[in-house]
Amino acid sequence: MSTLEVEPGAAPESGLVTTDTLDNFDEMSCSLEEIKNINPSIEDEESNDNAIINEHFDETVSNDNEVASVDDDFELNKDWIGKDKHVFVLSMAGKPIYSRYGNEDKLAWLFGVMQTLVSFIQSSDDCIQSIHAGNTHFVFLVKKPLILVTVSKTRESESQLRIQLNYVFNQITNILTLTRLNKIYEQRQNYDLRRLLSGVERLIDHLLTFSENEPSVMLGAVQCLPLAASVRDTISSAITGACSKIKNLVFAILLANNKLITLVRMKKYCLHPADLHLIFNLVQASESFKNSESWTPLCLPRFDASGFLYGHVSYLSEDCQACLLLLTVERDVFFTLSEAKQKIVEKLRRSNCLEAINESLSTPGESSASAGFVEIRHYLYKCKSTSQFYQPILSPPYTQTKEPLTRIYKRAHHRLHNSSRPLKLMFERSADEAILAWDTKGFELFVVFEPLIDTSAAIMLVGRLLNWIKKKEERLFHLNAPTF
Amino acid sequence: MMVTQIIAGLKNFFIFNSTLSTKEGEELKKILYYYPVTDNTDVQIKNVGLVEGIVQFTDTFRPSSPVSSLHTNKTRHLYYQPEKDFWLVMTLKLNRPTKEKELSNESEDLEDDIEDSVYQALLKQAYLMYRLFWGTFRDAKNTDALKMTLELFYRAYLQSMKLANADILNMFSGIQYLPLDKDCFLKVQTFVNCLESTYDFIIHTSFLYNDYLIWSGIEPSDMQVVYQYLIGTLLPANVEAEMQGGSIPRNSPSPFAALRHGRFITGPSNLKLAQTVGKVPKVYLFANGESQEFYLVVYRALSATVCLFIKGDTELNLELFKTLDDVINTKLINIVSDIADYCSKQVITPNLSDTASRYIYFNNINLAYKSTAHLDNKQSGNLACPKESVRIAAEMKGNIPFLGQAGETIVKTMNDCWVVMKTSNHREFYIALQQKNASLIDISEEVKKLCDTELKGIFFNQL
Repeated sequence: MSTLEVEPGAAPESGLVTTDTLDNFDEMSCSLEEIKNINPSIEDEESNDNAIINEHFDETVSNDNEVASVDDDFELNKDWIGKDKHVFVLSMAGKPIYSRYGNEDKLAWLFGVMQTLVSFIQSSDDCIQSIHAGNTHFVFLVKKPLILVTVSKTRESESQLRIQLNYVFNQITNILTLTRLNKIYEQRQNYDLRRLLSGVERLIDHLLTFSENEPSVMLGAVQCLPLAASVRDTISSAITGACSKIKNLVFAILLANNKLITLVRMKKYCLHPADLHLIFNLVQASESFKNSESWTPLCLPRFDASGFLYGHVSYLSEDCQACLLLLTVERDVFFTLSEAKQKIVEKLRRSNCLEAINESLSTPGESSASAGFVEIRHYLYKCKSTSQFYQPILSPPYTQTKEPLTRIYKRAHHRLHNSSRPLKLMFERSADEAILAWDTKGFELFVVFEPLIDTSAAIMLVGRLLNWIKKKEERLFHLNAPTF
Repeated sequence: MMVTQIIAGLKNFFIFNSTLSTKEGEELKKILYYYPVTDNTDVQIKNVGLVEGIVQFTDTFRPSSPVSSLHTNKTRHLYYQPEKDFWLVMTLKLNRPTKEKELSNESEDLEDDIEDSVYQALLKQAYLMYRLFWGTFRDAKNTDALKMTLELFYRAYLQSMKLANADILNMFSGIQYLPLDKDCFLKVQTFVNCLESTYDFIIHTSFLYNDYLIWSGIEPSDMQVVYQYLIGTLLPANVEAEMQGGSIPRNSPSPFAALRHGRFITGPSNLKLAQTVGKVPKVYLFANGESQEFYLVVYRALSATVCLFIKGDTELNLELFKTLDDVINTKLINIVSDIADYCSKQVITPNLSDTASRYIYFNNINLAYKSTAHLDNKQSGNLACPKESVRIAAEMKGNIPFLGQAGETIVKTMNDCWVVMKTSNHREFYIALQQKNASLIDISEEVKKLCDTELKGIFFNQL
């Protein structure tokens, strides 16, 4: 189909972990221990965490008797029933932790039913996966010490829904660390986790919308802000220059508008796209970062679920809305990092990089038609080795609402990566559009065509498209994987 | 035969109605049928309770249709509510690869990637077949009578279910038709009309040649159940008997001698010796909106089968069967030899090479299907293409609702097989191709050719 020797966007080294779709979410590394062992200056924090938990334990458990009558709830909540996707999180003991819509306490009876279902199936040494009823799919993720359930009418596949539940789980560990989460329930099964998660609901809400609408979650990849290779390199070296002497700095991430500008990392360590998505979500959902420099602990579950990294988070400047995160294992180096940030901004200003970023942010980007592909409505291209993807901006008929396009992609992606019968290629023509989905060793491609296109024209266009992306790859992808 | 055999892949199968008992401690009264008997009453009550819980839980969210399946790591549960409050439940054992797999190598479990819709169809079929012979659950005289007939019916029926070989054909539950020339078809129709107008107790008639339907006076939705019964149960049993020298002498001196041997296969099989009319099954048809009762009298001569749907209140006696035999036999023999002549001229030697493309065709309007991917229609699992391709076809069928009025899908599997689906005008056409090095363009060309030769005269939107 194409004459390319190396797929567009491929690079010898990648700052992001290479992802295959639907990869194993249980796999977690323990990079923190390694880093701490190399630089053993970090004090143990265990004792502190325990203190917080014990403090909370003294409060009395309330709400146990508040079981709302089922009928009342229905009367109140026609709107609630009609929601496209519910997400519930509960403890193994059936304690409500999170509900996307409605008040958890009023839904206590429902959480009870879900817990009963899970434990009923568990009693025969089995595990519940899903329930299907017409347009409604109920997907369960039992991940000790939590149970996550989604009730969806969105037509997403079971595996796609399960990935979203995994993201919610990761968001919770992002705040607490898995170690602490486990410890809490070891000490007290009946613990009301909401006490530790106040304010996190907002992040989970935002994450759910993010994972529903952004192709990045489906693809397990990130999109880069288009920049000339020289500009990106200058930015990377500005960061390296300012940070190279700082001990135990693990990642420096610069992003804007949900797109990656650069990622600088400690030698040997890579960032998993799923962790980066959590960071994107955090930045997007937190307006407060815009006002001042912040210092925030966060756990990146794919990097190390057992402990925290500490992040210096700030926007570059009033006149450049790119967000810089400096992640370290040290707990108290805010001022060191704040200083480094100032240096970075100065350098970027002097080398006109801020302008370049602003310019890229303000240009709407290219549609596939304006790039010369009139019969192609939209496409997603993912380079597997670097876990990065590119998509053109939306063009009609998807400018009014993006939803049909998202749905087409999700269906095609599911068919291609169906765990029991994966496919190499799929071409599907419906009354509204035609889609070609293609999975190769190096890349994944989804192209949406006008419905009347014939297969030979489609193949020819795909070949031309790949060549076009190859030509633009330096601008569209982050091809270097700089280290401090 | 009271000992119930273990059915490969089936964990349990039960029917219950929650409204039969609302008192605690009397849950057993809800259960109308339960397989296997080896599950003690506690287990039975627990399993029914689980379904009740799931039905209630799912109803909370007002799904577009009631709950149809539950997936767990080791099992697949299928639910079907054919009549209000009556639930049929079937639980399948799955062989999910685990670390301990070596320890318990249960070959009788089903593979773990089965399609819900295929087994949903199987469960529905299990209900429809019961309804054909016993009427609806609701119309049963009383609960005890219902329990008895359910026991009687399902004990045998479950043994005949071929769980492991269920595939897209179960979703169609289709009928194979025999295309005939005008002359032959008219002869069949005249024969049927003549029967129905001479005997006013014959309400409907169906006419089959081998496994192919030529004429049916009943609605397709009823015919598909009757057809499954004929092809799956009644005819194979009789063909076997004939093979063993039952009614047709094996080494008859002249082929014409056999022609005299048309006979009833429900009712008195040997009219000369018969003292009574024998066993004539009653069937219930529903297409007209209400249940109608008929005697199903089946007459077979050579390769032809005539099904007479006789008014349920008719008094059947030997005299009546003798007259029918006289009228049917002579006329039928002539028609059958005409059909046989016609068919022998039409025989095309099928392309048996491994790389030839195989197809499955289904028409949603008249429920007609044709398959060159299956080597027989006995659900034996004998396929002329990879099993994977047929499974992908079932998956594609599930996607049709998303395509709108018409559409096509072409996929290439990890093993470089191609599967193509085209749908238009309520027709579905699935093609499995084994051309490893072909490109998408080659495949679309190949499919175009195949549509031209195999689907002549069938309108397919070229989009």
